[in-house]
Parts: sequence; structure tokens; C-alpha cells
Amino acid sequence: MEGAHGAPGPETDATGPVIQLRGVEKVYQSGRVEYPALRGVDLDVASGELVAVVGPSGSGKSTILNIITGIDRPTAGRVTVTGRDLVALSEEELAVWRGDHVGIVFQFFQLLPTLTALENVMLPLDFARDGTVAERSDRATARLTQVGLDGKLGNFPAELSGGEQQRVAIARALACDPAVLVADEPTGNLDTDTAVEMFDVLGKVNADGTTIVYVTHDPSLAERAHRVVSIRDGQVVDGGRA
Amino acid sequence: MISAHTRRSLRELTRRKARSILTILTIAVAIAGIWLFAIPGNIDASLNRRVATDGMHTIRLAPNVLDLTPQQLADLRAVPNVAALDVRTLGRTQLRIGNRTEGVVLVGVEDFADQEVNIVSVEQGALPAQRGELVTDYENARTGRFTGGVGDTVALQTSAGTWVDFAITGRGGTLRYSSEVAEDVPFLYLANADVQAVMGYPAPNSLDAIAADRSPAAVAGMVESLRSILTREIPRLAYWDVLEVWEEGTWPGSEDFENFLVVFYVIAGVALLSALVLIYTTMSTIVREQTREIGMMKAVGGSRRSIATGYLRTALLLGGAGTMFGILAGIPLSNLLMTFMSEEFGGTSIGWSLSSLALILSLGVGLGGTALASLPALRRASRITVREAIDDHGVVSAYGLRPIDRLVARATFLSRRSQMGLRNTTRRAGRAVATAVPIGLAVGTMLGFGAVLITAVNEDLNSFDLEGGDIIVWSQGNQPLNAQAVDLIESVPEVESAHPMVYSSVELDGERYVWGLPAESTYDYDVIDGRWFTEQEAVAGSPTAVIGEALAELTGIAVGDTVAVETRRGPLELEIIGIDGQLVNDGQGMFLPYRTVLGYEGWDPGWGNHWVRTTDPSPATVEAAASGIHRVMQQNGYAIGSSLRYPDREENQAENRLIVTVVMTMGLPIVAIGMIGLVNSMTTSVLERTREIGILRSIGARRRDLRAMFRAEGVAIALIGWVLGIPAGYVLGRLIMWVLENEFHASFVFMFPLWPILVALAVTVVVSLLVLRLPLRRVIRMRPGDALRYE
Repeated sequence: MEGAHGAPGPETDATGPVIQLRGVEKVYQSGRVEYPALRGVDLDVASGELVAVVGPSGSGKSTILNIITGIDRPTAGRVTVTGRDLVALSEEELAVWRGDHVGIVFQFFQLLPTLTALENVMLPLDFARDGTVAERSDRATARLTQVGLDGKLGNFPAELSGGEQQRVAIARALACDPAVLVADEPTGNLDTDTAVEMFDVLGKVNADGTTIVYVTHDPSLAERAHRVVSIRDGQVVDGGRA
Repeated sequence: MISAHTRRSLRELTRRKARSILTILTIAVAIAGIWLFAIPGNIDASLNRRVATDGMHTIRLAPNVLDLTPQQLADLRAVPNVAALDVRTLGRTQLRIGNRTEGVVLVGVEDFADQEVNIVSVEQGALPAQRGELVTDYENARTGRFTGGVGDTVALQTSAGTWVDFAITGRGGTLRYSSEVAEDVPFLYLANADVQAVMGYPAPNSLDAIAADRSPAAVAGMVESLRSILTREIPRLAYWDVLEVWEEGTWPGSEDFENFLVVFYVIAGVALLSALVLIYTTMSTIVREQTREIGMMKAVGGSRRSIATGYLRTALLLGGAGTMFGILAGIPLSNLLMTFMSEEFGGTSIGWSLSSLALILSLGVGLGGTALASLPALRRASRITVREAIDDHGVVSAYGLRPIDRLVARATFLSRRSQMGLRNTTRRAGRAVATAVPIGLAVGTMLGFGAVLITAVNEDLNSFDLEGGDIIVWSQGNQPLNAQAVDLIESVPEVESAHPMVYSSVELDGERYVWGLPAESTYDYDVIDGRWFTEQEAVAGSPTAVIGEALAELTGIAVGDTVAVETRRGPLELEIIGIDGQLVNDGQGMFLPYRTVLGYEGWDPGWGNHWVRTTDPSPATVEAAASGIHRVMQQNGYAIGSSLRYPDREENQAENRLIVTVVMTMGLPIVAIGMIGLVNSMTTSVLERTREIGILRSIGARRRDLRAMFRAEGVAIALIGWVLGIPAGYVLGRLIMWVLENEFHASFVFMFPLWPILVALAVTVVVSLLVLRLPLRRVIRMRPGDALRYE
């Protein structure tokens, strides 16, 4: 599935996996200390897959998501997502590409507190200059209806519960009809019932054709994936390729 | 060995280097502003010393002809309270510079080797030793009016229209006249006899005296005695100018300088206030940011007192560094300004000095003020509980619950980016207001002073326009300017009209200047109560008077009253027929029919001045008219002196422009503090919302989106400052005008026009956009991954 606007950058293999990581290494630097987060990761995710990434704390799960979304750049290796070689894109091109092709759901919801639920969902559409303002509003309303929040369009995040905030976050991530949705512990701050409810929503989104990669600590939620990728000490120990 | 707690305070300064530097800079600007307070005392003391050294006169009488014998001069010197007395010849003619000519004032000295009053001294070359030599005032070259130096010759125009060369032997001057160069024309000092020869004057025309006792009563007594001797000894005595008195502690330019001091104090005060607001904001932000750390310190045993002390130490380090830089900047700044102002107001240069008062004030305010401004933050720091700290995530999640949030959210006509920027201002409403206040103070100061200057310049120009016509002509010989002389003046093609007027003075609750005028004159009176005198009253010399508004207010005299005044020849009863609203003589003058003044002074018609209106006020026409008048009067045997008004008007305008420029320049530190506050606040906003920037980048925000968002926030804060500045400026302007009105006992038409407000708007937006480039650079350089991991 392609977004409304193609991002600049070289087109590579358009028929292969929607996400492809080859020999990806990532070293973080904190002051004078270097910390290797990923050590030669190979990962393929096919279009329409629902993939869970599991592993202990500090194993590199979140780093993989950051590499897939272009939020972090690999120290070495190749990253191809939705047919784009991310390493070749500039920061600005990456921002535009993300807006068009990738939706991200963060652990702490990370809604903009000064925007209402509707405005939060409209924001990626605004950044992508996708359609008229009225059209963006309609599309955002549809996404919020899809996650069951059509009655709280005008509410600020402070007026929403944790579960409701995460629904808004999912709606925001889906606003631009992304080919890929990544979620970093999307239910980490929710109670069990709400977490299950949230996964029902994600399941429906995936059923509509969106590729989803999510990080979780919860084995029961990992089981809901088509495939589970296990990470340990920055390396994929299981499930790297379908 | 330094404790870990102290080390933490020290390291706090380098933790956010940019903010520390900006805060230190702000304090430095405010402390440098304190040194403005050092200027008045230093200038006053230096110029009072110059008054004594130069033997500046206490009073000057300006009779048309001072043809005195040595015995008469001795009689004048023997008048009680006269400490020293000299007679001089003053004249205004033209000097030739290349192919052009320029006005020049000649100051005659009876004997350069034996001067007692207004002593001319030289800093280069020598005093004239013989006729045909002169000294050029050192201000001539500094102001660029006449750059001829020692060894050059200068050609002066004689009353016969010929040119005569003089050798320049020295460069020097004397306080009284040097101070006038900047506002008038070049001044040259030469022998009395030379001035008389050039001007065609038969005798000196200025009597300068120093009083031993400068109390008003003693000086008044001395003047009365001198006048009575002159009246007795000089037939048909008339004065070409009003009495000049320099009271104790005054010097040329001191009155303007004192009025200007208000500007100094207000600007220094506002700069200080702005800096304190900024210190308060900075310290509050530091404490806010470090809520978690404070909690941690408490968790490991930090007491309220020790935590408050730690932050106080940080504040004092910032204050100490700012004070040091402020003093280092303030000393040269105040001395440069002092030099500039002593030259502009006093026409003299004074040496550099170090004010111990300013030094003590700087240290007191720099350290004490900083500590004081930090108190609210220290209080907050000491009260943070461990629980509160643990729960703090540095995110305000309650947005949208307050009415102000709802109100701002209604601005949906703006773009999304602008909406977000605007909403972020209310997210930290306290900080936004604290940032906007210094900007408001800056805008308010500029608008307030702007309004006062516009009002003053307007009044000043009005006053200038309404008196004197274009040329003032007076008799410089023994022959009065009779009706035939007036006809001759009016026969010059460029002359539209000429009429006589005379200066005098009477006692009415103190000495009052009197203008003797015909019913129809070039004086554009503004009668606010009663009426002006009629032609019949003028011809009959009736005892009627119109008085200035300030004089009416001071004395309680009203239209219809009959007042008894004391003239030089005895008491006189005058009927007050009108109140004049113009500001000539500071609104304390009296206007009488010309013949009434001649009558009580015992003068013949034709003595005094003639005001001449030319066919148009252009310099070329006025110059041509003046040349024509001199030519025709000389051909008919009249010796006249003349003064052109347009150079005075131009100088007056130049002076007004200079004052506007100086005030605006002095206001710049306040603008700088306001803008530093904006940069500081926006830098804090950027740091605070680093994670948010990461989120925005993650969902597709481009650099220009982020730039627009933060720019909108910064401009919104600046605009709040601009809005606050408008009423502040109005109140400040009104306040200053109130002070001036009380001082002058006059009412001004206060002007607060729209255009400076709009100019301030444009300047506020443009300057804020410029200074916002700094924090915005940080925003657009941030990588989303780094931003999301930012703690």
C-alpha cells in the first residue's frame, strides 16, 4: 500500500519485503562511552504481516523500530522500507517519507497536549499537505470513529483516559494511510482489558492490509502476531525471516 | 576541597551554557545601565569647576551702546556685590569659507592679557597680541562648523560689505560661548576694537559681571544698581536683548541637561527592572526543570536550607559574573556618554572618572538584586517534596482545562502550525507573561519617550514659528530706526513687512520679561482667555497687558484684574486683558503695546528691535533680504545689527533630532534585555519540548513546520509585549509630561499618535524574528532519535 505522495529518494526493489534490514549495526555514543545497540541485524517483513518483536530490556527492540522508521540511522548496514533505501535519504526527506508511509504509536501516547483529539489526528495530514483542511478533518474524524472515539473529537488529551489517548495515538498513526505501522510497547501503560481492546483495534487495521511491527514484553500479546522476532544483545536470535 | 553540593552549583552554570551566557549578558546590560547614574554628578561637578575657572558671568546686560568712560566703568565695578565686570562687543557677521559664506559670532575682549569675566584661554597657539588676530573656538572644529586652525587666516565681512582678513593665533574658548557653538554658528574671539571695526559699532554692547553673592536677592539688587547707573549715564539707553542670569550651580546647557536626566533615570530604572524580571524567570525555569533532581537531593538527605543555598549560590554566580562584565562595560560607556553629553550640553570636554557611587550600586544591585529576584524560585525549590519530584515528568498535561486555553483554541483561522505556536504560549502562561513584560517595558519606554519628544518637538517648533519673523534688526549706532528706517527696510524687494518691538522687564512677583509689540505683529499669539490689545490701545500706549499662561497660574492673576508692576522708572498699573497660551519665555512673559513700553522706559520710538518678515522663509531669500537691508541702511547712514532666524530654527531641529537619536540609542539596552529574555525563554521552550520535537519529526513534520511553530510562539510572546507596551508607554508619556507641565507651569497638547505604535509593532516583529533565529537553529538541527531520547 502506498501513501498519497511518494517521498523523494532512490526507488529500490519494489516487489520484495516491505521492510528489509541487512547487516544493520547501531552504536550509540553517550559522552565518551560507546554502546552497541544492534550487532548485524537481518530482518525481513512482508507486506500485510503482523510482527511482534520481543526480548529483554536493553536488547535493542526499540532501536530496531527506530531504524525501521528512520528515526535513527544505522551505523552500518542497509535499511529498505516501502522500497526506499533510508540510509540515502536526508533528515528532511525522511520526515516527509515518514509522514507518507509510516505510522508510529509510542509507549506514552505522546499526543500534543495543546491539540484536541481531532487536531492531533489531523496533524500528520497537515504536515503532508494532504487534501484540503475540510478533507483532512473528514479523514481524521473517520479514523477516530474507527477507533471508537467519534464522541470525543474536541477533547484535549488532558480530558481523555489512558486508553482513549492511545486510541487517538493509533488514529494519528493511521491518518495518512501508511503502509507500515510500528508500535513501541503500545499497551505498556494500559490495564489488561484496555490492552486487549487496543490489540483488537490493531488486528482490524492489519486485516485491512497494513503491515504492523510492534514491540511488547507481554507474551500473550506477542502470541497474537503472525510471527515473533526475538532479540538478544542486539542480535536477532529467532524469527528474523519469514 | 569543595563540597559536592557547591560543585553542583558551579556546574549548573555550564550545564546550559547558552542560557547562562544570556542571563549573565542580561545582568551585565542592566549593571552597565546603572553607570548612567554616575553621569549627572560628574558632569555637574566638572562644569561647575569650569564656571569658576573660566570666570563665567553671573549676569549679562545687553545695552545697544555701552559708550563708557573709565570713570563710569569704575563706578559700575564699584557696585555692591560686583566681584568682576568686563564690557564686550558682540556681533554677528559672515565669514568666508572657500567660495561660500557662513554666519559667525564675534566675541570682543577688551584686553586679552587682563580678563576677569568669561576668560578666553587657549589650548593650542596663543592669545591675540595685536589687532588683526583672533582665537577660534575649539568647538568650531569639533562640530565641523569652521575647521580653520592656528596659522590660517579667516576673512570676515564688515558692515560696509567688504572683507577683511584676520590671522588665527590660537584655538581655545570660554565656557559661556563655547557652549553655543554646537547650537549656533562658529565663535571667534578678537579684540573689542576689531569687532567694533568689523561691525561698524561705535562701542561695546555687552556688560558681563560676576556676583560675589549669587543668591537671587543679591543678584537682583546688583542688577538694579547697574541698570540705574546705565540709565543715568547713557542717554536713550535701550537693550538689544533680555537680561541673562546664571543662578548658583547652573551652567550653559544645565537646564536642558536636567530635563534630560529624567530620561537617564527612567531608562536605567527600566533596564534594571527588566533584568530582575529576567533573572526571576531564569531561576524559576532552572528550578522547574530540576524538580526531579531536587527531589532526589531531598531523598538523599538534602534539607530545605541546603537546597535553597545551592540555588542561591548559582544565582549569585550568575549575578557576580554579570556584575563584573556590567562594570567593565559600564565604565567606558558612562565616560563616553559623559564626554558626548558634556560636549553637547556644556560645549566642553571633561576627563574620564570612576564613580564610587556607581560601583557600590552595581555590586549591591548585581548581587543583592539577583538574590532578591531569585527568592520566589528558591522558595519553590525548598518546598518541592520527594513525592512531587518522582511524579514529575516535565510535561504539563493539564492543557485545555483552563478558560484561557479554550479561548486561544478558538483561533482556528490560523494555520495549524501557528495555532500550535500560539497555544504553546498559554501552556506556560506565567513564563510567557514574564518574558513579555520586559519586551513591554522596552516598547513602553520607547513609546513613552517618543510621545514626549513628539509633543516637545511640536511645541518647540510652534514656539519657534510664532516669534521674531525671519530677521531681527536693531540700531547699532546713535540713530534710532524711525519711520523712514522702517520704510527703507520694507523697500528691500525680499521684505514683506517690518515692525518695531522692544524687550523690557518689570517686577511682578519677580522679574518678568516684557515684549512691547504693535497690535499687528509677526508674533502669532494664542489668546486662551480675554483678548489681544487693539490698534487704538497700541497707538495710545494704554496700560494694558496680555500675560503668559504660566505667569497667570503662578501669580493667580486673571483677565480683568489690575496689577501694579514696578518698572525701572517707577510703579505702573496695568489692566490684564488676556492670557496667552504660547510658550515663549516659558509661558511667563508679558505682552504690552509697543508705545506703552516706550512710555514707561522713557525711550524714543525706533529703539529696540525690528522684526522683519521676508516674502518667503527660504534661506536664500532671507540671506538676500538681510544683505539688502544692510546695504540700504548703510547707504542711508544707519548702523544696524541683524540676526537671522532660520539658522536658529535649523539648529533647533538638529538638536531635537539629536535628542531623539540619543534617547532612542539609550533605550536600546532595554530592547536588548527584552530580546535576550525572548531568546532565553524560547531556548528553554525548545529544550523543554525536545521530546515533543522528536514526536513531531516522527509524524512527518518538516524543518519549516517546526520553524513556523516556534516562530509563531516567539512572535506571539513579543506581540503580547507590544500590547502591554502601549498602555505602559501612554502612562509613562503622560507621567513625564505631567512632571514637565508642573515644571513649566504650562499645559502641553499631549500627542500619542498611531504611527509610533505601528512602527513599534513592525520593529517588535522584525527584531523578535531576528533574535528567534538562534533558538530555532537548535530546533531544526535536532535529529528525531536524539530528541526522543532527550532527558
